[in-house]
Amino acid sequence: MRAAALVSIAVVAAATGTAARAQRPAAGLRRVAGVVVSATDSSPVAGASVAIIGTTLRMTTAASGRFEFPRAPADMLDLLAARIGFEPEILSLPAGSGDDTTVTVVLPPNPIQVSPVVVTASREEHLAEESPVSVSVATEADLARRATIGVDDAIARMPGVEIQGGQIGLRGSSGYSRGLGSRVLLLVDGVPANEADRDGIDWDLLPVTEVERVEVVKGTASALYGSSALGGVVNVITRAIPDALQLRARLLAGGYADPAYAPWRWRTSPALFGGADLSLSRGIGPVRLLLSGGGLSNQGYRENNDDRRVHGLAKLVLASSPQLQAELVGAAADESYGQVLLWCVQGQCDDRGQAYQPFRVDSTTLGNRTRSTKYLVQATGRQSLSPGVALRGRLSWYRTSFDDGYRSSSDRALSDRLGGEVGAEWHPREGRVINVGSEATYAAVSSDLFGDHSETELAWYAEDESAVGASGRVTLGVRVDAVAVDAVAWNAIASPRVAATWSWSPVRFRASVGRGFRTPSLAERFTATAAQGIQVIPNPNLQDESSWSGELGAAAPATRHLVVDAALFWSQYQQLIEPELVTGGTEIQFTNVTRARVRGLDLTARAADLVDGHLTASLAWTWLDAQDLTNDQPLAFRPRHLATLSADWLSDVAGVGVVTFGFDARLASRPARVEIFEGDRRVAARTLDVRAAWQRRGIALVAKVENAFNYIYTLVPRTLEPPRTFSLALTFEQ
Amino acid sequence: MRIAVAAVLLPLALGCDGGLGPEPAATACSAGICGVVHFRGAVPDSTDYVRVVVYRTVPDSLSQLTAFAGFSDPLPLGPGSARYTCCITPLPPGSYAWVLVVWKKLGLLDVTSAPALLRVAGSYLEPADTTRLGVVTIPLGGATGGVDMVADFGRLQSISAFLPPAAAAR
Repeated sequence: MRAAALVSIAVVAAATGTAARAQRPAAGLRRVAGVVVSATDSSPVAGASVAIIGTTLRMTTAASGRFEFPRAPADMLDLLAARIGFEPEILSLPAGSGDDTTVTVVLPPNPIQVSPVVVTASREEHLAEESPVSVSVATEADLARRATIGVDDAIARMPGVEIQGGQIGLRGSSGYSRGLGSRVLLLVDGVPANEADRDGIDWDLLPVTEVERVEVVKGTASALYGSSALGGVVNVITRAIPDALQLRARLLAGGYADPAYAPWRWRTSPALFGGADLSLSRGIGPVRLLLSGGGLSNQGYRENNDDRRVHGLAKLVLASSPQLQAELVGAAADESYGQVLLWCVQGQCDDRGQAYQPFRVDSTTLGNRTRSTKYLVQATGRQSLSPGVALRGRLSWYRTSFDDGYRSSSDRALSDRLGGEVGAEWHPREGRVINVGSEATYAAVSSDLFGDHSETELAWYAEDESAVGASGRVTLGVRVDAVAVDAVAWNAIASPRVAATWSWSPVRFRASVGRGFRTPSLAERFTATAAQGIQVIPNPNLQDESSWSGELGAAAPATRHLVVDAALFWSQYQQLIEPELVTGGTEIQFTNVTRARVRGLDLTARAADLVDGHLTASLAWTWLDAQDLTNDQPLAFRPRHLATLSADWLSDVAGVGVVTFGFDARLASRPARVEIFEGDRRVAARTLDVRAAWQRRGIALVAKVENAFNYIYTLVPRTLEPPRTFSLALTFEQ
Repeated sequence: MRIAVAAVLLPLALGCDGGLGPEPAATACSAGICGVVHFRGAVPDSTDYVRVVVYRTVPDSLSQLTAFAGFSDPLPLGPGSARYTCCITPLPPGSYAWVLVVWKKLGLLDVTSAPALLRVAGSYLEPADTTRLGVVTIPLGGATGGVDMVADFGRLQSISAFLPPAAAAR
């Protein structure tokens, strides 16, 4: 895979132990330690993933670039080291029982290497190129370059990703359903964190400044993750904690431009936003602690659109050895914001002679506010019993509450999701790994909108991944979920998956077929309210949505500077849940009505190190054919074309620092159909974001203009997307 | 270099279309009446709603006060103007002697409470003689626009004041 000749290595095999060693390894084992350095300047590479292939042993290098496996197999073994921005390397070490093996792994830089290791595609660390499903990654550098306010902003420009009204759709899996039900599962460091009542995603749960990377699995992942992973998975991975004391601070300030058209101008002063985040982390021996807090105040670009939020994060990591790793994460967020449901149409506000005022709301809804709080606590642990067997477990609690305040009434909800999992990773022989586990989830809600209800879910999963031939891998997996609502009528669902990857140098192919499902959220089953004069009535008999999905993809380096990835994907959905008018059109109920088919093509090209190393660029295009087969019409809220073009010009100016100029251009074509206000004029979404950054000695300044052309558009009817937005982010890291 | 040029030109091309733009509101409706209400003064705290209401004839008794020929949705109580185009539909063709903006105090509205709860914030006036109420005529199969009024919350008048003295005394 990676020619040994390219690897500059030094292997020192000492026949005897050293004084530094606390104890001799047991028979059949040995100590393997070393350092990972950059081929450019021999500087240590911190945060590199190091693993002994075919075993449960893996760890991350410290700031010094060092790693150590005190109980590695004595047999001949392959050591993998990988890091973003470097070519991953595999180093073969000769057998040596009782030896003390010290190695230096030299990683050649490869700027096109976005994320060599991903974890979401198969629950364990995996070389990205061997992933049997499409995975996109937003790296720490991507997040820093865009200086985004939230995690959703960071991933909204990924290929095949569409976020409409806060709801995410991956390759057309979801449209917009007013926040109820998500066909995408959110993981925080691998732990499910969708809301217990609405099953939605709270993008503001984690401060974006503490996110190391976001992995997005595009396609059904129910065979590993169960319900909600019908359309894919978003895994937000929090920042690793370095050994040394680290202080990080970010100040963010900005504002919104006036609309380009005078009849729509309604403010006398510009709308501004600003926020600050501060984090402190320290590693002492095996214990590492991170504390982070921040807040944001935003006047909003629309009437009644102000937003105030505070958030905090604490992370405690215990890494006493590569064999035992435990982590405790606690996060909290509190937000108070004005409700903007629909923009004002003629007569609902001071319309100034206009058919609609997109920056204003119905005057009778002025003052409507929502208070929303979230608390997350999760503990994870992994114990490697031997080089061939590891156990893992987790416990989590996620509490959300909201209080919608209207002029003369209010709605509220309090929900809790408790989760637990135990699992094992077994390497019975070289090239084969078996993952088994069991999960339990209990969700409960108390609300005047949804009533008082609970849902219990038990699941068992197993996945077997085997090497086939010299360059192929086959994965067989199945997960069985049993779900009961209000502790009655258990319903069992099986989700199998078959996947494979193989190489035909230099092309790496991948293929997968699997079944997915989604259990209706408690909100979809039990909502009882009145909205815009129409009664919403509950449907306790709502059935699961299900799908069969497949993907065929290939990735290949076209040149030394260019990598191309293509994927054909296809999904056949059954029993999709949609809000329907019932009882003669006087009431709305969520019902299983739709058979649907979504198919399409993803094309991505990434180039790096162009023009003497100054230019990096990426181009992505997703073509989507999303059809409602029941009613023979396009599925609502699915743009046929999604295209993104990004480029950054980087220059290291002597005495000044690193200066970067870049942009993101994005096009989402006009959806063929929307579900409400179908008669409204709609346009394609076309935005251009431009940015300039300066970085020197731990200080970074990013100036950004989003939607530079002040393009006025909607993704959800009568809900305006942000106009031209200016922002300045100052980051300090010491 | 060609890539760099293309990378710059493509996003510029994307921005050529400005997206959604202003759309003037309809100035006429297919049936009923339409116009613009201009607000003046502070809206009282005890406001329940403000509507445009229409009478065939000026009521001559308290019992006719709630016999509206038609009324609009509640008007948004913002500063400036509020357009009520086509809100009063359907209205049959014919003449309407009194078109007014009525302010309602919080409370249950019925025949007996109407004089206490309803106030006149403004009326449609004869354009040629603004001391007189204007008569609005809706043609057969058509509509009437330009029925503009001023609603002055600083000069609310009891609706009873518009009744004949004998009727108001009854």
